[in-house]
Amino acid sequence: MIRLDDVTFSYKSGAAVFERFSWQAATGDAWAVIGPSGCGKTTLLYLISGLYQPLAGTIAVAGERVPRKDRGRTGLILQDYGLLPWATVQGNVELGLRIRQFYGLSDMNHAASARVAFWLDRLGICGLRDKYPAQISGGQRQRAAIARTLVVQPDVLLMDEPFSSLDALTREDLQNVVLELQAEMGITTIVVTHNIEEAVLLGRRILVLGQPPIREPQVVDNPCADLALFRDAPEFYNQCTELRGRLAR
Amino acid sequence: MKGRQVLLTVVVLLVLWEVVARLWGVSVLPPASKVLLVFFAELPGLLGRHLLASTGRTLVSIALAVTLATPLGLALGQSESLSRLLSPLIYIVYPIPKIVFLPIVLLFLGIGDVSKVFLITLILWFQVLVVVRDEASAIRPEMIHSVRSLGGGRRALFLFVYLPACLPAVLTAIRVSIGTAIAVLFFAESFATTSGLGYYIIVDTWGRLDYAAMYAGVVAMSLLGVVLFFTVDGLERRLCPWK
Repeated sequence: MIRLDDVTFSYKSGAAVFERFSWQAATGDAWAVIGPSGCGKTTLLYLISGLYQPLAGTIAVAGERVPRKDRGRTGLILQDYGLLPWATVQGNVELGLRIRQFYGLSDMNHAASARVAFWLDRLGICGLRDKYPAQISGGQRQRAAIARTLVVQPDVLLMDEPFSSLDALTREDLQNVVLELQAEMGITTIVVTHNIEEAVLLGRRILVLGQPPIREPQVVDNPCADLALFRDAPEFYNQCTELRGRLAR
Repeated sequence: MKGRQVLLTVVVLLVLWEVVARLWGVSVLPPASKVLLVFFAELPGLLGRHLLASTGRTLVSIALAVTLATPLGLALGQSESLSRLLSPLIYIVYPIPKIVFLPIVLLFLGIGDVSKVFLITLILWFQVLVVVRDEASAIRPEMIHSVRSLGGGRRALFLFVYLPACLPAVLTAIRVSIGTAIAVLFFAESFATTSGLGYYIIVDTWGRLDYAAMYAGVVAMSLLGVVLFFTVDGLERRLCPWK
């Protein structure tokens, strides 16, 4: 479970983004966060991942106060992938394990290598393991970024506009990958997006953020997200229309 | 550039030198063949000893410059307050041709190896410092965020992000500064010393009007520059294959 209690946060130079903001996401839930640019969507993810510290209030993930001891357990996937240009796809996927090894937390043992091989294969980038990020497409880079995050076995997956710079077909393909992973792993996911269709597709619950400072969470339930072939179902379009109306208010 | 192209260029230059020298026929321009004979005859002896002295000074200076400039450059690139504090000083001192400090350096550090190594280190140090600072400050925050989100702290960021990010820039800085560093070394070795190719060329062979040996010294000094340039170039290709 992710829990924010009375969280207040502002950047050094600006007004508050969150003000006594409380919100929670249950274990295994799939959330989408949507709102206008600058409303604090990315800030929310950075707060949950422990990259930013709230000025007041507390944030906890799986009962553990943020920043967690093992920060890699809260997986974060960024819009522009955040891959290291000097490491191969395999080197990037192994990065979290290498960092753990560097701090003496674990070894790069057989099981860890097997996990790397599994996720390279599962995400269809096995054949690209020796390529550098500059040598592969945007979609393949995002697959590598997802694999890198999943290799360290997170219990929460945070995605910050993960597919916004990809073409429509690649985006759809990777959205399906996320849906499959949600179904297979039951991992708690939060996807930040500015795309209404994506929010409806990937979030069983949708957090709508307005103009900051954000005080109250506005939540839209999206139970039909579990339907098979939801993308083509009339419920999908109805939900998109409703969410669009909500955002326009 | 391929090895064959380099070899071909060297051969063409030597042939041109040979033809011009034979056509002109003056003692101050001995033919390439004569100079090369002296070069290979002297290499195991006096010339080799001076070449070693110059090579040693250059390599020690490069090592010192990289070791001392890289951490400070990384710190400057990461810390805005430190950069604000030191940038004006770097901005003022960076464009000053460091060779003008030679008499002061000789006064304080004497005429031995230390003064020469210090001066070359100073030249390279500024080059490396500035490029490392610029590279470190240009690293995209997303890259840092993603490594931090995987559990990386300050030390891991240094190892996995900052150092590899700066490596190509450090090697480029060394590569482009080698010519200047060797020119300064040549000048510094040309007086108040008894070892190094600068001494061999200016004081010893030029003083004795032994032009073939003098040219052999020039070839040795050029060779030092070219070999170091290609070594760094090769290192860059080997250590930075993503470039």
